[in-house]
Amino acid sequence: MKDKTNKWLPWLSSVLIGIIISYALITITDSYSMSKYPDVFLPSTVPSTQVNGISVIESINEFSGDETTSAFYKGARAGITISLILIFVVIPFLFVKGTIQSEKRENPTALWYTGSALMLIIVVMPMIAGASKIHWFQNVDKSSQMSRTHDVMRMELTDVSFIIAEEILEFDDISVLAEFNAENITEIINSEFHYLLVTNPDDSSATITISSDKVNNFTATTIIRPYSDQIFKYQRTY
Amino acid sequence: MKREYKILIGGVFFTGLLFLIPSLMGYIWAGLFLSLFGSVIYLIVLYRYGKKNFINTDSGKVTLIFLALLIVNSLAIFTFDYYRADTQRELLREIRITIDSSIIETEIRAELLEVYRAYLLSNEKGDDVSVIEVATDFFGERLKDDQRFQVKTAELEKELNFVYYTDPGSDSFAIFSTAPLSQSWDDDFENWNGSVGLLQTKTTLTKEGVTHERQN
Repeated sequence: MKDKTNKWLPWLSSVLIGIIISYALITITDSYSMSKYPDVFLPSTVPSTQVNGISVIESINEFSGDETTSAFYKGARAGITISLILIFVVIPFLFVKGTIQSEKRENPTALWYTGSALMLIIVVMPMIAGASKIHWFQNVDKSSQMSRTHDVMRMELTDVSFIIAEEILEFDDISVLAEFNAENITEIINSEFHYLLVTNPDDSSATITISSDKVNNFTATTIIRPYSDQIFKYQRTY
Repeated sequence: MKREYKILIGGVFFTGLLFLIPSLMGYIWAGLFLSLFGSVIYLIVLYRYGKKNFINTDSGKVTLIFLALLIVNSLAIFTFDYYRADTQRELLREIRITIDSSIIETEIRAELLEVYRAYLLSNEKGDDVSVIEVATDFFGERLKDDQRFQVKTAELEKELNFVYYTDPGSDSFAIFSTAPLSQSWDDDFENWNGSVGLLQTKTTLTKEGVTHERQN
């Protein structure tokens, strides 16, 4: 029993040292992220997070057409290189060297405690990071699907609004507008969304609203006044 | 120098350079995966060195488990992050296209609708005018000699390009709009301004009305 305890005691100590080091690293990262430099510059236990950060910055630059900040982030590659060298080269080396040293001295050395604690961190951290990233990504995916549906609805509404405006302009007699309804428009009949069309022959205007069962509480409305300076007025509700 | 330090220095150079060279050339993800591949080779060498020097056979097993976990976990999270970055890039590209095509449609199609309204009103009055005549009169100096079309909202020209085209045969007036920051669905599509693969729309006014189509 005592032998077994003696065997596991150094490993328990390593786990504790690992927890303390992890806590210190998180504190440093948190305080650093408050500074003016983004934490992609700081070595990390999961280097792909830093690479992803740079990728996102480059995508945003591409999105906005601004390439000026890309050069600034070239420096972040140094931080990633340090992370990779520490994780894949230095820490495994410390662990192997510490093990050899401990076996020779028949007792765990400081080098072994350092190496094994750091080794535990770099093996466990990607698992924790992976789990939280999967959870985060699922949420992002869900909200981007929702935004995509909103965009499709808005674009379809725009298209239908133009068609209605044209139809009203083509009426010889504006009183016909009272009988004009959504079933007159092919795009509405073929649509997967719901439309509500309200016409007002008094001021030659029409109001068209789009909604869907797929997205809760989201509707978009266009007020069409074909004879005014501002032909379309767009409104949306959540 | 001891063999173990030679292995360490070799690992530092191998892993570092395999990341730095491709990443500075613009291939940051390729650099990350190459570096991981390089470090696998280093870790095999390190494991063999350790195994040769370990007294206890369990130490070899523990080291092997740790190194295998390190490689497998890293490969999994790198692949996941790569996929995530790619998805985010595509999402931003999609958002940019949605914004650009919405702006083009609401701006250009609305302008041509106003011309169509003017055309219908002129013909109601009995003036026998063509679509091209009404459009030329309506836009005036905004139709440049080099075929460039000047939009009502001048700021849009910083991020979008417009040209007009008239066809007297079919009495049509068309505006082609291109978005230089929106790489669209067909990468080989040839845009009117010589660029390739950009979002392009064609908004056409005829006596039948206004049509709007996304060409790429």
